[in-house]
Amino acid sequence: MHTIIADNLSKVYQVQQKRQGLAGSLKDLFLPKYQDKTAVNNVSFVIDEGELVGFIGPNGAGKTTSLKMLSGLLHPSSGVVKVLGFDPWHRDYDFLRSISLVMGQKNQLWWDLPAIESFNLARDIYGIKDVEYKKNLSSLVEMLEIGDALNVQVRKLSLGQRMKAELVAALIHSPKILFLDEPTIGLDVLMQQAVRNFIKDYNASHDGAIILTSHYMEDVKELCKRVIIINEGNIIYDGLLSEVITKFSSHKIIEIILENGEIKTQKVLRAKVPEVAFSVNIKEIAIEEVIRSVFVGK
Amino acid sequence: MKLKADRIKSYWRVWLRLTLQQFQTQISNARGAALLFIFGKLFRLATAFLLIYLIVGRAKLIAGYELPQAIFILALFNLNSSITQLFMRGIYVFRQKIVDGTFDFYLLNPLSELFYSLFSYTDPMDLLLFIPYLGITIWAGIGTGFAFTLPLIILIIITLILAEIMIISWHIVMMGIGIRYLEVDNTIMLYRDLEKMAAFPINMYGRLGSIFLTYIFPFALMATIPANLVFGLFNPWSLLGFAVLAILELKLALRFWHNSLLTYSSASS
Amino acid sequence: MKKYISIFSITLQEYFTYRLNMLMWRIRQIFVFLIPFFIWRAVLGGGGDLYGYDFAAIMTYLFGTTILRSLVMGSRTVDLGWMINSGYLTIPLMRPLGIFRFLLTRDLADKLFNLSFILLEVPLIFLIFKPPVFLQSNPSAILLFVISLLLAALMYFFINIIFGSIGFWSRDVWAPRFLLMVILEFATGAMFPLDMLPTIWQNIMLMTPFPYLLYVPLKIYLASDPNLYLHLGIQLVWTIILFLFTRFIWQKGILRYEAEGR
Repeated sequence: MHTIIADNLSKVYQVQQKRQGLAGSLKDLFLPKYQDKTAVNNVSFVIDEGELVGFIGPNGAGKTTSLKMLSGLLHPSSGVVKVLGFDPWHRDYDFLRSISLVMGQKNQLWWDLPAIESFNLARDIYGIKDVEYKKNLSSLVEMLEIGDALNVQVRKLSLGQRMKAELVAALIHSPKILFLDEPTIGLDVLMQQAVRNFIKDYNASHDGAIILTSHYMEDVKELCKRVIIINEGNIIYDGLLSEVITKFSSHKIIEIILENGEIKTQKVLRAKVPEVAFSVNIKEIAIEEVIRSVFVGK
Repeated sequence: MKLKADRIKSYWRVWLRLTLQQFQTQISNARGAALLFIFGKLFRLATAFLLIYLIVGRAKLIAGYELPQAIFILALFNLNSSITQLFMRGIYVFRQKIVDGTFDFYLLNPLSELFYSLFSYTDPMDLLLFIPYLGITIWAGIGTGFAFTLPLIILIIITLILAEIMIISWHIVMMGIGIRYLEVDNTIMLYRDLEKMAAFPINMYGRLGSIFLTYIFPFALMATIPANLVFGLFNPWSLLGFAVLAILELKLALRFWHNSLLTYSSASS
Repeated sequence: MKKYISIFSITLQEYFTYRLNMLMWRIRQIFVFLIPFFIWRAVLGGGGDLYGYDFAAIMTYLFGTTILRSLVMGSRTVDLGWMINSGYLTIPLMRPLGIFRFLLTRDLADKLFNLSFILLEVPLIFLIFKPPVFLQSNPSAILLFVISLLLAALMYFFINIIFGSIGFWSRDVWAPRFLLMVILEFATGAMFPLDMLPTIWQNIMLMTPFPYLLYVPLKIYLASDPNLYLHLGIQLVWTIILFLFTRFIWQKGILRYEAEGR
C-alpha cells in the first residue's frame, strides 16, 4: 500500500473583493462580492515509504496548501487523499501520532524556556516511553549538534539553533511522515547546509517518508531524487529531478576555452550537437534557469 | 478502556506542565503586572459589593431578595466567573494563535486543539485569588442565615459543574466564530457583558430575560439557581433537566466547531 | 486640513471592514445600559425613591451616561500603548502631521461613528422601554453643558495619552490600563450617580479628575448641580493639568522612543 495517495485533490477559496473608498466599504458591508480562487487544481500523486520528495514552485503555487491538505490542516474542496491509510482531515489520534510538521520561521517551542522543556512537554503529549525518549533525544541531539543549546532559553538561540531544536521537537516521537514547509528559509548559508545534511542523514537512517516544500533550488538539488513541480495549483512535472532537464530543456550549452583563457559560450539545439574530438565542455543549462523558464512559459 | 485512561492522564500531565511552564515564564517577566491585576480585580469586586450595598441596603428588597441574599448571589457569581477566567483564559489569545500559525500546531497535535485553545493559558496567579473569593462566598452564605447541609453543598457543586459545562460549550461556539470570521475579541467581551447579568437575581430581568438567561445561556446556573437551592426556592430534581440541556449544548457546540474547521484556511498558504 | 479628512475617512473605513466586529461592539453598548436599567426597575419601578432619585430621574441619568460615554469616551487613542510597543508609532511620526492632531482626528472619527449609531439606537430604546426622560430647554444650561462636554472629551484624550505613554517605558501596558478601566467604571459615575454616596466620599471623588468625565457634565445638563461654576472651574483646571502632564510625559517618552532607533 502506498504511504500517501492524492487523487484529484483540489482546494478552492472564496475571497471577498473589496471596493475602494468610503462608499465602497459601505457597499462591501451590505453587499459583499466574492470570487473563487483555486489554490490547488486537481492534483494527483503517490508517495511511498522512505521517499524524500520535494514540492517546488514559486510563491503562491499551491505547495504549502497541498502540504496542509496532506497533514489534515485543510479540508480539500474535492478529491481524495489518504495518508498512512488515514483520511488526514479526521485528524485521528493515531494519525497525528505518526506525522510531524515543521514550518520554516514558525516556532512551536516555548519562547521563554529552555528547549529541553519543550521536549519534555512533547514526551507528555505523545506518551513516549522513557527508554525511547532518551534514545531519540540523544540520537537527534548528536546528529544536530545542539547539546549545549538544550538548556538555553529558546529566545536567546540563533535562528539556526532554533530550527535545529524545532527539528528535535518534531522528530522526538519518531513520526512515520515528516512534512517540512520551507525549512531553510531565512537561515544563513552554513545553517542551510547543516539542516540539509541532517535531513539527508535522517532519511537514510530512518524509515518513513519526508515531504519537503521549498523555493530554494539548493534544497531540492541536494535532497530530492524525486520532485513534483507545481505552478498555479497544477502539477507540471512529477518524476526524477535528473530527468527535468531532458524533459524541459531543448538546448545545450557549448563552452569553448580559448588559448588566452577566455571562455565563450553558445547555446545550441540539443539535437544538433555533434561529438567532437577537441576540448569542448558540453553542459546542461543550469536547472534553475530551466525551471524559471518553465514558469515564464517558454 | 486502558487507552482512554492513558489519554486522560496525558491531558492532565500536559495541562500541569503547561501551567507550571506558564508560571516559570511569568516569574522571569514582569511581576508588577500581576499585582496590578490582582488589585484591579479586587477593586472591581469591591465596587460591585458597594453597588449592591448602596441600593439593596436602602431599598431593603430587590426582585424579592433581601440584602444578605443578594450579596450571596453576587459572591457565588464572582466565584464561578473566576473559575471560568482561571481555566479558559486561552480564548483571549485565540485570535493571535490563528494569525501567527500556532493554531496549526494545535490542530496537528494528537491532543485536542480545543484543549490547547482554551486551557493552555491557565494563570497560576488567578489561583491565588480563588481562595479569598471562596472565603467571601462562604462568609456571604453564612450571612444569609440559611442552613448549609452536606447534601446541599454537593448539589451546589453539581450545579456549578453543569454551569461550567455549558460555559465551555459557549466558549467553543465563540472559537468557532473566531475561525470563521477571525473575530474573537468583541465576541468574548460581549459574552462577558452578558455574563455580568448573572451577578444579580435573574428574575429581575423579566420573563423573557429570565428564560433567555436560564435555558439558552447558563447564567442563571452560575449564581441565582444555586442560591435558590439554599433558600429552598429551587427543586433539586430540575437539575436533571439542566444536565440534559448541558449535554445537548455541548454536542451542538462541538458540531458547530467541526463545521467551522471546514472553512479554516490557515495562516499562510 | 485635507490630510486630516483623509485620516478621518480611513478610520471610518476600517470600521466598516470589520462588520461583525462593529455589530458586536454596538450590541455591547446596549448591554452597558441594560443591567443598571433592570436593577433600577426592580428597585424603583413600583414607585418611591432612593437617595433623592425616583425612577424617572435615575432613568434620565442612565440615559445620559450611556450617550455621554460614546461621546466622551469614544476613542482610538487607547491603541497608543500598542502603537508604541510595536513600533507602529514611527509611521505617523514620520508624516508631516502633528501627532496629537493625528490622534485627536482619529478620536473624532470614533466619536462621530458612535454618535451616528446613537441616533439610531436611542429612538429604538425609547420605543421598547419608554423610559421617562427629561430634556433640557434652558439655553444657558445647554451652553455650559457643551463646554463641560468638550472639556471632558479633552480630559479623557489626555488621560489616554498618559496611559498609552507607559508603552515608552514598559512592554506591558495592559495591566495599568485594566486598573484604569476598573476605576473609571466606578469613579466616572457610569455605574450610579455619585451623589448617592455619603457626602464625604463625594467630595473625595470630586478631587480626582474622573467624575468630571461623565457625572459632572451630565449634572450640568440636568441643571441639578448646585456647585456648577465651581465644578466647571475644577474641570478647566484638571484639563490644563492633564495637558501639561501629557506634554511633559510625551516629550520624555518620545526621546526614549527615538533613542531606541525604531
